This record gives sequence, C-alpha cells and structure tokens, in this order.
Amino acid sequence: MFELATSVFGGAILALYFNNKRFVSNLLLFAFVAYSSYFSYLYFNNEDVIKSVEWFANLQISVFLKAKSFLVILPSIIVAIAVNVFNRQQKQQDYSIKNAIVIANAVLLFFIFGSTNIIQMLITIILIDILTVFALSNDVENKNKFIYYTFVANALLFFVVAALLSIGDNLNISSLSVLDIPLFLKGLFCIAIAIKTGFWGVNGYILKFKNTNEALSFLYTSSPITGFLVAYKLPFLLGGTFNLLALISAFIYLLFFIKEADLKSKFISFSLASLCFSLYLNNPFIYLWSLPLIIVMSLIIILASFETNVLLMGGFIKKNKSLYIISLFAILLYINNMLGLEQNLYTISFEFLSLLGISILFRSVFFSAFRGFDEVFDNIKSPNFINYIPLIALLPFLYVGFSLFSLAFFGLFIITQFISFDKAVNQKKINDVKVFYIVENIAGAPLKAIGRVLWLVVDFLLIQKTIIYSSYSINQKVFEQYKKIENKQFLWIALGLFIIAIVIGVSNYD
Amino acid sequence: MIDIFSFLPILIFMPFFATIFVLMSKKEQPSNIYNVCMLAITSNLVIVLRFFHLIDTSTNSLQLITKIEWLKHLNISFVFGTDVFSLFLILAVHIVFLIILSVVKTDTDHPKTLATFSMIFLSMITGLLISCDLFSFYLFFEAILIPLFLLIGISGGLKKQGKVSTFLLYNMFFSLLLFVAIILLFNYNKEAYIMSNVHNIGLSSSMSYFIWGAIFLSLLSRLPIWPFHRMLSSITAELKNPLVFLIANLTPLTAIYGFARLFPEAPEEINLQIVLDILIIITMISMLFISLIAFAHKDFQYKIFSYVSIVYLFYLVSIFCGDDRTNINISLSFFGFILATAGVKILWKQYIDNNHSLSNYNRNIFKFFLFCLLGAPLSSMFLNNLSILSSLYQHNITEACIVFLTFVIVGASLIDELIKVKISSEDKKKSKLLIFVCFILLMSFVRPLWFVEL
Repeated sequence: MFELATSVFGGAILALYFNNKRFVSNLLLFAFVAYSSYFSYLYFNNEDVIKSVEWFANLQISVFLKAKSFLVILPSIIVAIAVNVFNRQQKQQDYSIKNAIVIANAVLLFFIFGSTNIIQMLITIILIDILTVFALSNDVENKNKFIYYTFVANALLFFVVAALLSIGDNLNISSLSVLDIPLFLKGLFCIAIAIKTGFWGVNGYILKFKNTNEALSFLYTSSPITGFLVAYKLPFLLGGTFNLLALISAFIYLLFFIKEADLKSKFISFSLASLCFSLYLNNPFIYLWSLPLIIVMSLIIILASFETNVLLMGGFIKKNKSLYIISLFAILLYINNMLGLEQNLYTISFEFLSLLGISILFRSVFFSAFRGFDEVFDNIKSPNFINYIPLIALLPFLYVGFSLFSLAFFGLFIITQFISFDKAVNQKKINDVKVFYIVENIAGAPLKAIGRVLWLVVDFLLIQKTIIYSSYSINQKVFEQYKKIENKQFLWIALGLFIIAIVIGVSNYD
Repeated sequence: MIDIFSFLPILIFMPFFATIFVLMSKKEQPSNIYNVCMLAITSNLVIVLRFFHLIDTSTNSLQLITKIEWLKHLNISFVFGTDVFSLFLILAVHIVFLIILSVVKTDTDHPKTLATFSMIFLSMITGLLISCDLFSFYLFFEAILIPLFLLIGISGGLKKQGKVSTFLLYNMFFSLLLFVAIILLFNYNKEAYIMSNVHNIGLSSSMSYFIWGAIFLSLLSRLPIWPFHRMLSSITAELKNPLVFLIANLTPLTAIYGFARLFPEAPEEINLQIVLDILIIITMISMLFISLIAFAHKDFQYKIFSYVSIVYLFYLVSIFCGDDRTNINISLSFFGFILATAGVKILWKQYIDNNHSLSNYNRNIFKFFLFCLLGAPLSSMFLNNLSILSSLYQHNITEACIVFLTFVIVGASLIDELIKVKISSEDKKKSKLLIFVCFILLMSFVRPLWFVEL
C-alpha cells in the first residue's frame, strides 16, 4: 500500500515533465483508481494499513491507517477522480498537469492522515501547498492571496512545531498529546488552522475562485482539507475559542449558501460550512456527507453550460431527470446521516438551514421557469454519463439504512420544493466582503509604513547621506590602476609571488 | 612526503594556481578564462568530497590537522583543520562559485579581472574556513577584503564608488581591533593563539572585556548589524553582476565562522554575560529593522539582501544559544540557503535581461528556489532551521518569537515576486545546471550527507 502510494505520487510528479502528458495523465488516473479501489477493499474487509520507514535522525515516515478511518480521506479521493474526469471531459487548459497535481495532493493526504509524527504532517502540508501553487490558474490576485495566507499559516505551524520540539523529546503525536502545552502555542496553532481551513474572515480568496473544477479540487485536496486533517489529528492543540469560531464560521457560510445567487460560490460556502461544522463537532463525516451534494452542484453547472447564476436557470427537470433523481438520493442519505448525530440546538439549526439552502437551490434550478435566453435552454446538453461515476461510487459508502424519521424529514424537503424562495436569493455578490482589506490594514499597512519611515529617515538620510557619501574620488584612481591586470606584465608578478609562496609553504611544512 | 589528498591547504592553493592560467589566457576568450576557474573549483570539490570520507562525521572536533611553521623564534605556526561544519561551508561556497561562473562565462566585461579576484577570494575564504589559529584566521579575514573591494569597484556596476572605500575603511578599522586583541592574547599566553585554547587562558575581568569586545566588534563589522548595515546594503543592493553579488553576500559568512569557532560555550564563566546580552539586543534590533525595510522596499535585490542578512543574523543568534548541534545545523542550513540564493540571483538577472519575463521552465525553477528560501521542505534549510529555532525557543522564547516574526516579514516581502514573474517565449536559455542544483537541494533535504554515504 505504502509503495503503491509513493509510486502514484512519484508518477504524478514525473507526469509534470513528460512530453506526452495526456497519456501519462490517463495512466496515472488508472493507477489512482486502482489504488483507491484497493483501499476500499481494505475498508470493507476491515484491514488496517501500518507501514513505517526509517528516514534519518530517528525520524520516521509512517502511514498508520485504521480501516474505518478511510472514510475521512474518501472525499479527497472521490474529488480527485471527479476533477480528473471533469477536466478531461471539458478539455480544460493544461488539464493533464492539473489532474496530475490533484492526484499527487490526494496521495499526500494519506501521509498527513496516516502520520504518527508531527514533522511528517508539516512537510506534507507544505508540499501540498507548493503543488497547489502550480495547479492554480493565473488569476494573479487570487493566487497572491492564497500564497500570502498559506505562507503565514505554514510559518505559524513551523514555529509551533519548533516550539513543540523544544518542549518534548520527540515529535510523536502520542508523546505530545500528554504534554502541558502553553496556551500561547495553542493560540498560534488555532490561527494557523483557521487560515488554512478558511474560516470566515480569511476566506476571501477561496470564495473568489473562477474555475469550478479548480475550486472543487482546492477545497478537497488542498489547504482547507489539510487544515482540517491536522486539527482532527491534533485536538489537544485546539482550544475552546477555536470551536466557537468554527461554529460561527459554519453558520455564516450557511447564510452565504442560502443567499448567494452564484452556484459556484454556493457550493464553496456549503463545503466550507460542512468543514467548519465538522471541526466544531470534531466529527469528520459531516464533510463527507455533504460531498454528494457538492458534486451535484458541479454537475448542475455542467448541465447549465457553465452558467453559474441560479436566477438564470430553471426547468432543468425537463432536460435531465436522472440528475434530479440521484440528487434526491444524495439528499436522503445526507438527511439520514445528519439525523444520526446527537441532536442539539446547533445540529438541528445546521440541518434545517442546510436543507433550506438545498431546497431553494433545487427549486430554482429544477422547477422554476427558465429565466435565461430560450436559445440557451434549447442548446443545453446533459453531462456525459462518465461524469456521474464519482458520485455514484460515493453513495454506497454513505448508506447506513434509513430511519422512519429521516424519511419523514425527506418528505418535508420534497414539499418545500413546491414553494418559491427566489426572494431569499440575493442578486448582488454578498461575498465581496472586504475582509482582506481589514487584515491587510491591520497587519500589512502599518508595517510597510514603519519600514518606509525607517528606510527614509535612518537608512537614507542619517547613514547614507552623512557617513557613506563622505569619501568618493580616491577610489576611482585605485580601480583604474587595478584594471591594468588585463595586461600581461601582471602575470609575471603574480607568478613570481606564487612561486615564492609555494617555496616558503613547502619548506616549512612539518 | 606530503600526502596531497589529506593536505588541507591544497584547497587554498588550487584557486591560486588557476589564477596563473587565467592571467596567461587571452581576454578575448572569456569562456576559456572561466573554464580554467571551473576546473580548479571542480578539482577542489573532488578533494572536499575526499575529505568528507577521511573525517569522522559524527564528531564536532577538528580533524586532519595540518601545521605549517611560520615564525620559528616566536613559535607561531599556521594551523589548519576541519570538521563537518567547515567542510559543508567550503562545499557550499565552491558549488556556488561553480554555478555562478558557468552563468557569467559569456560576460566580456573585465573577464580576467573578475576571474582572478574571484579565485583569490575563493582561496582566501577557504583558508579562513579551515584556519584553526588566530593568526591565519586574521590573515584570511583581512585578505578577503582586497579582492572583494576590487571586484565591487571594477565589476560591481555601482553608481557611487565612494561607498566601496567607506565599506573597506570601516572593515579594516574593525579588523585592526581583532589584530590588537590577538597580539594581546598571544602576549598573555603563547598557546592562546590556537582557537580552541582561547577560552581557557583565564583572563582578568577588564582584560576579558577588552579582548572579547574587540574580537566581537571586528566580527560584527562584517555582519549587517544596525546601524552599520547600511555599509553593506548600500553596496549589495546595487550590484548587477551575480558573481560579485554572491561574493559580497558571502562576506558575513566570515563573521559567522569566527563566532562559531570563538564564541565561548559558557560566556557567564568568563564574565561575558553582559556582552552577550548587548549582542543579542543589537542583533534583534537589526533583524527587525532590516525586515521592516525589506517589507516596505520595492526593489527585489534589496529584498534578497535583507533576506540574506536576516538568515546570517539568525545563525548568529543561534550561536549565542550555545547548543551542541548549532554548528552542524548552521552549516547544513547554509548549504541550502546559499545555493537557493545563487539560483534566485541568476534567474533574476535573466529575468531583467529578458524584459521582465522568463520561460515557463525557468519560471518554475525560480519558484522552486524562492520556495526553498521561504522555508519549504525542499532543501536542508527546512529541518535545520527548525532545529535551530527549536534551540532558540528553549533558550529564550522572546528571542525565538522576534526571529520568527522577522522571517515572516521578510518572507512576505519575497512572496510578491513569486507571482509577478511573467512567462515569455523569448527566453530560450534552459540551464541544466540549475536543475542539477535543484536536485542537490532536494537531496540535501532528503539526506544531508548522501554524498558521504555513497
């Protein structure tokens, strides 16, 4: 398993430099599917994966996965396959490279989740972020924000790991969990995870992804999922405030999900809401349960010929009934699994709001009258069947039997499909919150201002203008003399000096 | 009979030997001139690798000790020795020279001057890195300034030459302090000039302050310490030639090596705690100052200079911590750091020459080097800096936090360049050597001493 994982990862990296990228990319997808299928086999047979390789200085590269924990990684595997299929079907620009990177990232996630030491996690997280930089399209502003925020988050994690190394004797997770870790370090760790996961307030760049497939792969195989996995593996480094922030973020994202008219922003918000709520409950499966609905939303975008404004959709039930039926099944599984949680005010509110959002979306997309141009509606084509495969492959993992209560809840959801909520959806982009300006104005601008003042007043006026400019003309003469080295007489002088040095050196050697 | 393959000073002579051939060659054929230099450096690299096999890499003690008698009546000899720390530094410096020379070999601007003085500089810095006694250390420490001064003046492309002489005078003045301190030490105890004996001679309190103060001041003069950092920054930030730029940026290494060899393990035992405290405060102020200016600056070369300065000051602070593993961590980290810096500088020059654009191939390599500098797990810098930061945290949390903050600020200032670099089809240069450097950097992360294990 370990060897297979490293081979697939190695293949993905090599694929970036092969000339026949398409062929290698296809081969890689095949290998990855085989790898995932083998993992599914282990899961259903309840077999654990334990592998550890000695690195150096007592450091281990380890993969330690219990069969049941496979479901935590499953969303990333499914999304990696789905994005590969979508990119290939849509013939996206440079899709071979992007597909290879998504697969490489998905494989690296195993090394985070299966890690027994914190240093392996840190290395893998940073490698995933680096690969993501190469996978993101040239949306300069968004890419810049991603690199900037990721750098800060990774630097904080680096510092926390260095501090933990000095507190404990080693970086094994089991040893660290029993240590008394200072609150200050926990705070830094929480900030890093909040940035990586994309808590509300530092989310701007995630919500502004222009490409649907890129957003999907980013959410499930890059920074947010790495932040989530680290938080899940290291709960002893998290504090109560972190849980509160996760809860607040989850509900704000849910509101975005309901209000936003742009379907791409909707699925990003819904995915982040599930992620934050998973963190709040420390239950990784909420993120998994919401995945089929996210894929459904991606398929709707393909069905709508890449129109993302839900207010310009409608009547899609006439165009594609199979997608609607699969979607209903996905919703039923979502309801069933969510109702399996311990019910309290927060979980019930989350379930209610998420279903409300889905209901509004389905009503707008499938049942409302089509509000775009008629010609567009006539030319809409259903996605190729191959696009459905990742979704269909995912659903059996979510089935745990249906309860009567969940069926009743599902019935209620069906009824809401006949009520119009169009007014709840906002035409304006409410996500254009100038969060970046807040962060940059608090941290960046004052630092830049201080730096500028220091440079102008101290460096330039005080030191350069007074001390450095005091001498000038002597140098020119000295340099002119030495430029004569280009002539040959210098050779004999140098040779003579060298021979003298050699003679003195050798004759005095003990 | 001298066993040439265990004779350390051969590393000093080899570049000197190359200068003879350089001086004999015609200036119209610059590639020949540089090929000779590269051959000499390659020979030295082979010898360094041989030395790695000869020494015990598990200990910190100096090995392959070579004694060359100098002044018999005063009983003064030049003593050379090495360990993993100095060999790694020598290896890094040589590889950097090799890379840069392969890039500048098409330059027709003063090729003989450039090659001659860079070889002399290489020879001097190698001598400094294997010196085990204060006299040879001082000689090389001082001698480095001459090729540096001439290289900057002749090929640096500075607008105002006055900066170079000020820089030289400033460095020479402080070097004189080192000379006075060495003479006093020697006068106090005839065995004190051997570096490893310096801490054990039992100086009086006032003498201790004076001697150590003089040594530290002279070493600090080579580092970008506030408020004198401007001496270095005003020059380095303007240097156009990548070879001269790298040579100027290697100068602080001499101070780091000096501190690593001379700084006492227990400063409080020889009444140096207050000196240490002052040093740390100055270093912290310098780091904050330089990082903040880098953050506000728009010039990439200045940012690179700031980054280099922060890294050197980081090494300095780690030496003050006095951890057992510090030296080896510094040398391994330096190996990754200087190679990545050279890569960035080379590609940056190419970027400027190509109207602010690079080919996709070169852009990806540029990103790789920048990621290394930003602390990604792609070179030896990652684990070694982690280890150094960990020691620093154990020693003093506030110091560790300030160091970390300065790294974040200076790193953030470099990030913009990751995005700005545009792709161009005009840039046809594909340097296989830089790919090889990437490979070396990656290997230094995976297994730092892989070439010894081969």
